[in-house]
Amino acid sequence: MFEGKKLSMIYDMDTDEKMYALKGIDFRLPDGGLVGIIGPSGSGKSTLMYCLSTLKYPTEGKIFYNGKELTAFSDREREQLRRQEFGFVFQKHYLVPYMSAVDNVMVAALRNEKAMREKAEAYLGRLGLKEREFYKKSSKLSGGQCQRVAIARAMINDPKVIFADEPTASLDHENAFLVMRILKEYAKDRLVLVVTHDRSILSDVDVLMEMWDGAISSMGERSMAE
Amino acid sequence: MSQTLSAVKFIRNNKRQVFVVISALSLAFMAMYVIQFILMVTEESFRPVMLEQPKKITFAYLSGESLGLTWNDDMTEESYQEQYQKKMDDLMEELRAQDGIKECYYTQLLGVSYVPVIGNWWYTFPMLEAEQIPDYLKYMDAKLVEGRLPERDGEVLLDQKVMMNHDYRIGDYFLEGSYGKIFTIVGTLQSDSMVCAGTPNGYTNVGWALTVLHEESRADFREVMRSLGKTVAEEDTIDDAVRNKKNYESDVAETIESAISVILVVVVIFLAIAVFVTYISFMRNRVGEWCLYISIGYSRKEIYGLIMREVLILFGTSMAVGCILSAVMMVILAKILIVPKGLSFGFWYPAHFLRLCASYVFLIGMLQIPICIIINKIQTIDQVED
Repeated sequence: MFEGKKLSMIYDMDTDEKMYALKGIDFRLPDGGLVGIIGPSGSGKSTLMYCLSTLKYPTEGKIFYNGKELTAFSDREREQLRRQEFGFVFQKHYLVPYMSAVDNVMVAALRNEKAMREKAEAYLGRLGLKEREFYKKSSKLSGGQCQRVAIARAMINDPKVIFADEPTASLDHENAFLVMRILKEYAKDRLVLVVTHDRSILSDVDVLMEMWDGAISSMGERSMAE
Repeated sequence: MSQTLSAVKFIRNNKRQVFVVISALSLAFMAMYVIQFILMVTEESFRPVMLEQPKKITFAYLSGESLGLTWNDDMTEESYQEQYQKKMDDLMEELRAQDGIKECYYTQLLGVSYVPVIGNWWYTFPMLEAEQIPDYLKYMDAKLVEGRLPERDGEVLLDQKVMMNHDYRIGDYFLEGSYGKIFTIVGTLQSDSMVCAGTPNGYTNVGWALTVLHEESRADFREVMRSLGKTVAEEDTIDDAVRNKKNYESDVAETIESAISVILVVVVIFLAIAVFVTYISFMRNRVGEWCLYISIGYSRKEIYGLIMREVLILFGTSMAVGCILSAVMMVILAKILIVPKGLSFGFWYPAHFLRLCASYVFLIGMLQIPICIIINKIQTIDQVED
């Protein structure tokens, strides 16, 4: 689904000391499954995820998505891709504080109809929110609940790819594993990319990509993660 | 139904903030409309006296020169007065023979002030013989609504608005402060042009003048005199429709229009600053939200659309609430301040209303600056996290 060729990302381009977040990496990701990207802080894992999700432009190299060159997409095409085919779970939940949990999920919905609202409620229920919490303002929910709402928001359109940047960072272990189970289930017929530095949550990944200092230090099937 | 960002969600879920904004905008709308209403009371109140009455009556303070009388050293004051009176009688005869001239009197006049919210107007009415008054009232379409007609010298009939304006009652003495107990108010009149009348008793605060009752087509006295082959001296005061219309336009309408414009501009400037500052703070609090929208695939255009829908709902609601508040405030002011003072008023001024709407559209236009700046600065979440 995704293919990267000689992908580089340089920060502080104008200064003498260029900072490479990605150093000419090549990779190919599967069409489906749970892909874990792990590495220490500053290894370039989040930058890679943001380049794949069209939020960042790589400085050099090309990214192909379903055979099309992502880096050549116009801004409008990138927006449409994010809106229609991608789902996002950010490190912080980024919920709209004055909206209810359901409305926060519906913000990303492609259609505003009853069926979508029911779907949003179903996702929230599956993610462990109680019915009485569905219409609570997100500012009244706990950090863990907010992150689960953010995951439901990412899933509402059944996107082809979900990008999750440290999705369990604000969750306790129990909730973290619950979230990973849900992402794993979703990854049965879709692609889910999880960026984390917490190896313990990646026990179920199908592909593990390890990053170190802007380069891929290893990449392999599930057995390598174990 | 494809999903668009809902403006109603913000409004429904931020009632306190929205209430503050709508209150401020609607109160400002009300203040501006009510100030216009109060100022327009002056214009409305002066209209009957300055525009309606002169269509039927003219007071001409004619010099001897205008009557073809020149002073010479052989004349005494008495002989001059005699000749002046004779010339005046001749002129009145000529005028009565003219089409559109109903009656002429050479009479003493009394002046009465009429005080609206700002300014005051001093207008005159004739002192006629008691037997002339019924015809005069009939011609002026004035109705006696209380009291009786004058029977003796020194009795006056006042329009009911003038009575209210001065808080007079029947039996009170007219202008007692100036003349003492000389003119007694014996009746109240009702008319569209605020007609007053009285019988003389030798005192006047205005002087003598030729009083001409005429049709509207003969309301330009200098023109009437020209049609008789006479010229009115430039320095003579002719209190006719031409002069009153000119005074009304320059002294009343233009002054009030300028005052309204100045007030509107000042209020709009302050309001623009307040709205500007409030909106910048409003928007700053929501940058994270818009950041999310951009990141999950909404375009800047869609976010601009969301903000504009919110702005239009807030401004539209404020204007509607402002109209209701204005109506309530005007009714209260009319009841407690305007009607008891015998003043005229109107509630609906389309030109002013449109001007107010235009100033709110201007405010929305002003808001485009911070909105566009902020929209262009919205970052995606990856940039925020960097």
